[in-house]
Amino acid sequence: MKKTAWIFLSPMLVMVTIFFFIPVILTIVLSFTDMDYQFQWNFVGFSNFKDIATDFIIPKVTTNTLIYTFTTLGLFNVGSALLISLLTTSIPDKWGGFFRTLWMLPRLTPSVVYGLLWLWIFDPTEHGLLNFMRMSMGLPPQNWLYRAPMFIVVVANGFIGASMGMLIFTAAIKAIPIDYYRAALLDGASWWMITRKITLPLIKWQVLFVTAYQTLSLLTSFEYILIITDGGPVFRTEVWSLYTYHMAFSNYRFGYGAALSVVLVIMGIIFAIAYLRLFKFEALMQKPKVEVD
Amino acid sequence: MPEIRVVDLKKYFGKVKAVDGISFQVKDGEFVALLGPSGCGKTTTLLMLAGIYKPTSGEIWFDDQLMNNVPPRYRGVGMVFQNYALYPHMTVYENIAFPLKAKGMNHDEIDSMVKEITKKLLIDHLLDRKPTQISGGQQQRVALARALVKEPKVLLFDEPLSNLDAKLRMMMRAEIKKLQEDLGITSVYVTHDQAEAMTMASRIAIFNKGKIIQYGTPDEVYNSPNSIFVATFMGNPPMNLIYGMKFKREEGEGVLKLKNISVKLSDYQSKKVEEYGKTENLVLGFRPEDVSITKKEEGNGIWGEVYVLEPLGRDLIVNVKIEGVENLIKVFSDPTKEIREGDRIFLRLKPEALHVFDGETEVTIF
Repeated sequence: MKKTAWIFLSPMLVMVTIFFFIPVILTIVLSFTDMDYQFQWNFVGFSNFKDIATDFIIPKVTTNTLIYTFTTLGLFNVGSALLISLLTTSIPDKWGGFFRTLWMLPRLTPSVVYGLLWLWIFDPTEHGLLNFMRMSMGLPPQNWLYRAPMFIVVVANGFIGASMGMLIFTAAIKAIPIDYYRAALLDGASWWMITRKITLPLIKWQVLFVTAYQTLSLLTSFEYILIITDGGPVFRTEVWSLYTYHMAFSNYRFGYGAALSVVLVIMGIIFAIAYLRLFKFEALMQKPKVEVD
Repeated sequence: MPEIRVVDLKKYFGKVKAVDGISFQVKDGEFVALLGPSGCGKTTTLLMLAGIYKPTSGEIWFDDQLMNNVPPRYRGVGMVFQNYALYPHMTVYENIAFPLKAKGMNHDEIDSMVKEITKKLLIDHLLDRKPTQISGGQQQRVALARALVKEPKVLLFDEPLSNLDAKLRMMMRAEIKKLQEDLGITSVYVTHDQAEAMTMASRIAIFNKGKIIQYGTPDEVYNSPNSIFVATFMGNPPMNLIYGMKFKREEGEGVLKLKNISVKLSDYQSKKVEEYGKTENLVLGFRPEDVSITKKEEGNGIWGEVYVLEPLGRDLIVNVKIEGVENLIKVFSDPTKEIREGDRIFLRLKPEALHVFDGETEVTIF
């Protein structure tokens, strides 16, 4: 049995090695070279990392990354997800399910189509949805993508990102025994007290998971930003992962790009550890001490 | 403490008639059990008393106040749930303090009330534990403390003992009964265990399919069941039934007959059957303890053969096969009596302990 299990597991092991472990090692090795479009392995020690420290764009990119990640996370991927879950589980499930389905729609849309949809909504000409609405009220059109690019990027990502947290939180809330709520209702607890004292503590683990998972996912994903603003105008929405992409695949500075991605991975690990501390992960995992009399 | 009056109460979930027009009364300080098989509407009724479910129609009165539209928090109701519903992330202390906090009471008041009730229920040494760190019996006490700490006027129990092992259940049964008597809180207790209902309640409402079949004292529902359902639901083992009997007058005496079986009825009983006006498809019922086993025919009774013995230590249950009767007849006997499987024995019936039911409508004739 043990042997068979290994046989079945081995193809995946090979795949993971080829497509994950080797690229990871290659990237780390690459980050110590100045490889460019000529694909030469010239080892330059830590000079890429020194360049990152002195790159004049990096402070802007770092700020953008933090703003983008934590605004999207707070307002949508965890914030809205939690709010939608709490509200849709407080109303009859028929309607709750309806509202949750609405929030799933962006997730079901192909990402390029979804990105183009936002481009159309915020189009600077009179053909854009928002401008069309403004003009029908007699107001002049606005160049939205110039005025508030970060806001647009956050909203576009948030509407998609909220659905995952929503699904996980809703499932977690529904798994809470109904008698907890009945007992609380009999005791005269308000919706707010029930939410704060019962629901939220009981889904703490799921909130931690979604927060950590979505932080890492927001740190590394850039496809909607690429489609909607491509980091512009003038680096105003250039986040770390997009900057890495631009360096590696627009400027062909593969060595520098690799170094940037290594730093990004280290940032991700630091955030993950911070969350585990913040949520007292060890206490969550503590084994019960049952005493039988 | 209020008197509870329920009038023609109904609760439909779509097409499912969970509770279908029930009426009953619980006197001030009384302990009433709602008894029935699962899915009979007893818990739904309890949740309507609590205010968690809104009745489809009908009325719930606490004294002279109509409660239908009163939210749960203003009903003065404490409830103990089947799974205790203790919040796993809170300590025992926080769990018990929760209802008082919800009321907005101040810290010192809460503290003294929690201390008082936990002392009374002997759980004051567990206050800083989490529910997962205490035993089932202790959890039960914590749940009881949480229901009692807010000094409710009505106590509702939803099968509170069904998660405990048999020994602990017997112990808690007596404790809850004593506690209720001491406090004098009007109580409604839902259970599917007839022994619990019999031992604890002053009156029992027997539910089936959303209706109350019979409402009376333990003595009434046990000794004068109004239907086959009640007769077989109460008692363990349940009442023995012999279906398809015919009533005849033989030399002036009323007799129930089925093939070789012939059971004499008293004058009073015969008249009852005649008044009822049905002579066929009658059901004879008698309880396992209302039979004595003899080796030869003595008085009124039925011949049978010992099928299997079930010793219980204090008692012996004798399973008897009677010719022409499909189901086995169970009889309590003295374990010292010499009875072996295969023995032919005579079941002598106590004449006054006989019951006869209508085989079609299943209602009691006497």
